Order: sequence, then C-alpha cells, then structure tokens
Amino acid sequence: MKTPFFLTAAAMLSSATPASAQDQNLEISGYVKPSIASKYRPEAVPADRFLVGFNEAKAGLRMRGYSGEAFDYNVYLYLTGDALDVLTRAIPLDTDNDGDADKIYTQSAEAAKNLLREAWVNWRPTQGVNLKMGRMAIPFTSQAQAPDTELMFPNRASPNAVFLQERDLGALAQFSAAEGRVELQGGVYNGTGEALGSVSQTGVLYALRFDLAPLGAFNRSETGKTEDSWRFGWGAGVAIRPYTLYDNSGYPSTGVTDIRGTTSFRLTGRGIHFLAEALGRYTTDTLTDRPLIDFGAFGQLGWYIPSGVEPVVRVGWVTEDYSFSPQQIYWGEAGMNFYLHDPLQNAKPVRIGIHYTNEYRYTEREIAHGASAQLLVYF
Amino acid sequence: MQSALFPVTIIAALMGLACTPPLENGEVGNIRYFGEIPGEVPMRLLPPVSDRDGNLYVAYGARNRSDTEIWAGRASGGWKNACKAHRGSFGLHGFIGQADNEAWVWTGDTILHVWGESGTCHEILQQDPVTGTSLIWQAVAPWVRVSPSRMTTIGLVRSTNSGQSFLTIIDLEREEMTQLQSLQPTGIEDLIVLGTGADAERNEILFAISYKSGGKRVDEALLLDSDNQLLERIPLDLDQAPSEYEILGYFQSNGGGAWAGVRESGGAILIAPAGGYDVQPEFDAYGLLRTRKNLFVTGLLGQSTVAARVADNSSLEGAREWRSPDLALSQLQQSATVYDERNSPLRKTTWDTVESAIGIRPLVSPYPLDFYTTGSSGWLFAGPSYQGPAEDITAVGFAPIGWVSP
Repeated sequence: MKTPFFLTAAAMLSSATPASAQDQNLEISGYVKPSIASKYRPEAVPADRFLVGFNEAKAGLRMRGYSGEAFDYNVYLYLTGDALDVLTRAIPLDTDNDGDADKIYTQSAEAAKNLLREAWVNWRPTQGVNLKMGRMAIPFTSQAQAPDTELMFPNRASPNAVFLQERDLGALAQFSAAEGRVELQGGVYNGTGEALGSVSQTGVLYALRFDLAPLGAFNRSETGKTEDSWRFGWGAGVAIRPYTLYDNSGYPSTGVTDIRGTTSFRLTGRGIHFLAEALGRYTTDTLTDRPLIDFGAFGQLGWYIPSGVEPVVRVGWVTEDYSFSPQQIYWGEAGMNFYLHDPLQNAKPVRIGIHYTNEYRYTEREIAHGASAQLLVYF
Repeated sequence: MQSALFPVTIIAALMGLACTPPLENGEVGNIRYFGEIPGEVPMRLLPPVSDRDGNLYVAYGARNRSDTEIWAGRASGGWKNACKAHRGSFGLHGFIGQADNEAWVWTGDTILHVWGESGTCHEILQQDPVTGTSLIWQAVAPWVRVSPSRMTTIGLVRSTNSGQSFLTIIDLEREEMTQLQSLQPTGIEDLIVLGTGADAERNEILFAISYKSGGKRVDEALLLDSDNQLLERIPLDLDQAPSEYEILGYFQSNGGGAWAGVRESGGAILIAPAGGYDVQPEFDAYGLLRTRKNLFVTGLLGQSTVAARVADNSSLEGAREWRSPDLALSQLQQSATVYDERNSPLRKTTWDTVESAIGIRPLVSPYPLDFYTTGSSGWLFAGPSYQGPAEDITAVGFAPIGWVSP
C-alpha cells in the first residue's frame, strides 16, 4: 500500500510546470527518492528480526519566489511512504470472563505524516539582515540546517535526531557580516507541542546560533562537488525552553527548564566534506529533583572523487539519561554515493546511494544492522 | 580566538551541570505528599521505584498480608491509587522492574503491570493459556530486560493442577510465556523458593531454591541468563533449614560474581560460584546497598548505621560507618514544606513532624534501592497521623535522598 502512495506523489510532482511558474517569479524544484531499506535485529523475536521494504521512499516539492526586492518566500512539501499508524478501533477483551477488561484489541490504519516541511516568508530590511517567519529549521545544530537533499547519508546523524525536534513554527532573525564569515541567528519557536498523555505543556523555545568561517562563507551541503579552495568553520548553538506542565484539571504542576547546547566544526575543499558535532542537554524542574542529562557526538567524512564516486563514513555516540540510568548507544555507518552527471549541466541531477548502518545499544546489549539503497533524482 | 572558545564554554558548562549531584549526601529532596495510608511507622510499604520517564511507584503490603495496593505518581505531578490486587497465600514480594513508563510488581502468586502515566494496573498471565488453570508464579527475577526488541524477565511457574514447575521467559510486552523448560531434575518434591535476585550488568538471574530429590534435601541456587539458559547450579551449605521466601527483599549481586541476601531470621546468605553459606555479621543486618562498584550488607551497630562490603569470594569484610542514613535522619528533626499532590491543583503545605516511613533507618532496606538519580534514591516519609477505625492513618510522601557509598 505504501508504494502506490509514493508513486502517486511522484507523478504529482513530475507534472509541475516550471515554465509557467517562472513567469510569475516562482521557482519550482524538487526531488524524488525511491529507496529500499532493510533491518536485521538478531535479538528480536523471529517476526521482527528481518524487515525489508520501500518505506523510506521520499519526494519533495519546493516552491520559492520573490515579492519585490525585500521579500521572498519558500514552501517545501515533503511526501514519504513511511506513514503513521493511527488507532482506528479499540475493543476491551475479558480473557478470563470475570467481567473486567484484561486486554485491549486494537486496529490501526496508515495515515500520511505532516506534509508541510517548511513554509516561511523572509524580509531583508538591509544588507546582511534577514527576518523570517513561518515553519522552518531551528538554528541549533549545523546539520539540521543542511538541506534534506544535500545530506551525506539518507538521514541525518542519529545523535542529531536525539537532540533536535522537527521543523517548527516561529520567527528567526539572521545577521551576517564580513561577507558571511560571521553569522548570528536567533529565533523564537513554538517548542515541541503536546507532551505525552493528558498533560499539556506551554512555553516558547529560544534558539541562538553563532557561526564563524574565517576563510569565507560556504554552504551547508554535505556531499558532492566542492570549490577547490578549503573552507572551515566553527559553530555553536543553544536552545532554551522554559515551560510549565499542567495537570488534567488545567492547573500548573511543574515548571521545567530545558537547555540544549551544541558545537560543531566543518571543513570542505577538494571534494572533502567533514562535519563533527557535540551535543548536550540538561533539563530540570521545580518538583522532582531529577535532572535529565544527555550527551552525544558524531563525526562524518566524505570524499568526492572527480569520477563521481563518493565514499562516506560516519560514527556517532549518545549517552541518554546520564543522571539516573545511563544508556550508551553507538552508531557506525559507511557507504558510497555515485553521481550520474548530466553532461550539459554542472549539476548533480541523479545520485545513487548504498549505505550500511550499525546501531549498537551497549547498555541494553543489543545490536541492529541496516542497509539501504536510494536513487535521488532532482528536477 | 575568544569566539572559538565560545562553543567549548557551552559544552563545558553543560558538563559541569551534569557532574553536580542534584542532592548532597544525606539531603532530602522535595517531599511529594501522595496519600493517607493505614499503619504506623515503620509502615507496610516498600521503598519506591521510578521509571525512565520519572513516574513513581509505591507498593503497600507485607509478607504476611494479602492487601497489596499500588500508587503511581506522574513525573509531572499528581498521584493515583492504581489498584488493589493480590492472589496467593504469601504477601507482597516486591517490584520486579521498570521500563519507560511502566512497572511490574510481584505479589503472592501473581504479577501486576502498572502504567505510570494513567495510574492503572492489571494482573498479567494469571491463567495457563492451554489448560485455563491458574498460574502460580513461584519465582520472578527482579529485573526487566528492556531493549528495542524485547521487554522480558524470567520466572518459575506452575499451574494449580500440576506439581511440575517450569522456567520461562515472560514476554511482558505481549504478556506471553515463551521458551518453557521444566525444572530439573524431574520428580522433585517439596519445592520452596528462598529468594530471587538479578544482575543486569552481568546478565545473570539467581533463584535460590530448596527441594527433595530421591529422598534427599537439596539446597541450591540456579544461575540463569535473560534468555532462560541455565548457567550454573550453585550448592548452598546452610546451617539453618531454609523456609519459603525467607530472604527479605531480593538477593543482590556485587557485580563480581558474589551475591547476598538478608534472612528473615537474622543474618545473611552469601553466594559465590563455588557455593553459598550462612553468615552472621558483627552487627544487626537489615539491608543491602548496591553501589556502582560494590555490594554492602547494611545494618545497625549500636545507634550507628554501618555497612560491610561483600567481596568477590563472597566473604564479608569488616563493618564501616555509613553516614548517609544518619545525615538524612538528622534532617527530619524539623518541620518540612511538602508538595501536596493528592488533589489538583498541587499546593504546598507544612508537616510539623517528618520521619522515615519505612525501614529501621532511611536507605536501609533489603530491597534494591532505586537509582532515582546518580547519587540519590527515592524513599518514603511519614507526616502527621490520626486515629482510623482499625489503626492509625498516616500521611505519606515520597522524596529522594542523596547518598554516597560507605
């Protein structure tokens, strides 16, 4: 059922008409990424031990345009075959005929995830200043700001996913100086939304990120051709979210402060892409005397060889719940990207990726292996 | 250069926060008042446990009673009486483990599954799915192995119409038994369980049992792993004849192959791969303390709290002073502000008197202390009480206590 959904999405995307859009000062671009992926978990029960499918197929459609000299806008729709299981039916079962429900029989159906990945409007009041509002990436980690299609691996590093939520609604101010060598971003966002269960939380997320690139500005692409000259940059980000938890009756129960920090180093040049990030989280509240502390880091390296082949490697580590029950998780990934270039354009219209991922949950003594192959076609 | 140091400063600040313990040695954290419970100090309550999400669980009951009752407190505040449930002649054994937002309790012949957020619970695996007869959970490992692909523990079970006992993996997610194997040797009689224990880091589970085989009494400890594989049978050389469930709480491991359990009749049983034996410490043994590196038998010598380390060869070293319980006790001499979470909205109130609700001293218990945080464990405190219809009704609250190794 997932593959037809994906094909429908691909057909919809490929029917877009860039020519007419250009007349309206609108650029339409996007990508289609069919993918096959498998997982092997030797410790799982046989039914869950080996999984293979096309679930990770994705497609994206981006529309970007300008309204006068000071305003531009961006809409990015994101379709994926990886659907959400939505509960559609729940039946209590009395297995021992004592009049009490002992188990719940459930039925679920698949539903599409949020299709709107990004939607923002940007105002440039002056050179080097951008003011954005809408749904966008939070300026926290370096990798979160890399475009979805410019990642070295099919997905962002797992430590990055542990510490960062999805795109969020908010407002962002960007300042750059010295031809982009220095960049400061600060924003306010909704936060993560609803918490688990019936407890609701409200609060604003404040994010701040600073980047320094002494040899000149460079984009956050993690893959493909690079300029010949070397570029490197340091960066650091912090996200602070004070919020209040409310109980079922709607009264405040706990005040929570969630602080996350990250620092990164990037290097590109002569086909080399290197990125290393370290992340930390400290969450405390007014009631429990139980801070939540997590640490993590990852590093990734890719080398684009002029023949269009790019070997890539990535390692990552996270310690979750350090303050009460530390769980160590390690990741190792390796793979190869193959670029099939259009001879008439200096672009990268087609990319084939073959990757292997290993997740080792040291504390839980469990290992999992994954492999995937993707075809990424831009339009 | 200064800007280059900025990211380092952020990470260093977070590292510094991480290395600071939330509570000092003997410090008592916020008291969370959750209920009014029958009984006087020391009350019929077990040391509380927490799950990974921070929800709290309190069990009311005793070894000789069948009125087990569970409370669940949400990490974000608010408590609920989850259930009253019990089956069997023996009373409450204890918590067997926790996962992200749930916990399991072994009481009498049955296992209860408690959800922390909803504050509800139910009995699991109460019937043999084949014969429909009731299941008697004779032994359950006090460890739930939680990983992305499994949530299991090990149990020793028999049905009411059979004398044969089986070792089985309990799939707590699916609430099923798998990998059943009959307890060997076949034809054993008068099986009793002294106690159970588990060491998650070593992937070891200990069931100390006693039975008759070929007319001869055999006392031994079964060492299993979490896949229900029998690793070893360790002979026990006991001076006193064992009785059923005579180990208070659970056996605990020192992380190096030795185990200890506190006997109801006094003293302790120490077990190493070479064998197990009785020991009578130079002090009154009331509890066990597992730290990151060591296991201690804890108790009282005069009015001081002391602890004796269990060596890898299962010998008991000399007693040393353990100040954390006494420091916590000294904090309870004054009135305290408590968070009253019995009803919404949460509000602060004052208890004029506060004392440890359970145990002979704070933190002295034969049950494994829950790692509420690194360097602190949850405990229960008693506030004011009043005369109830049968006995006193006492206000009870949860609070973590900071501690350091003896």
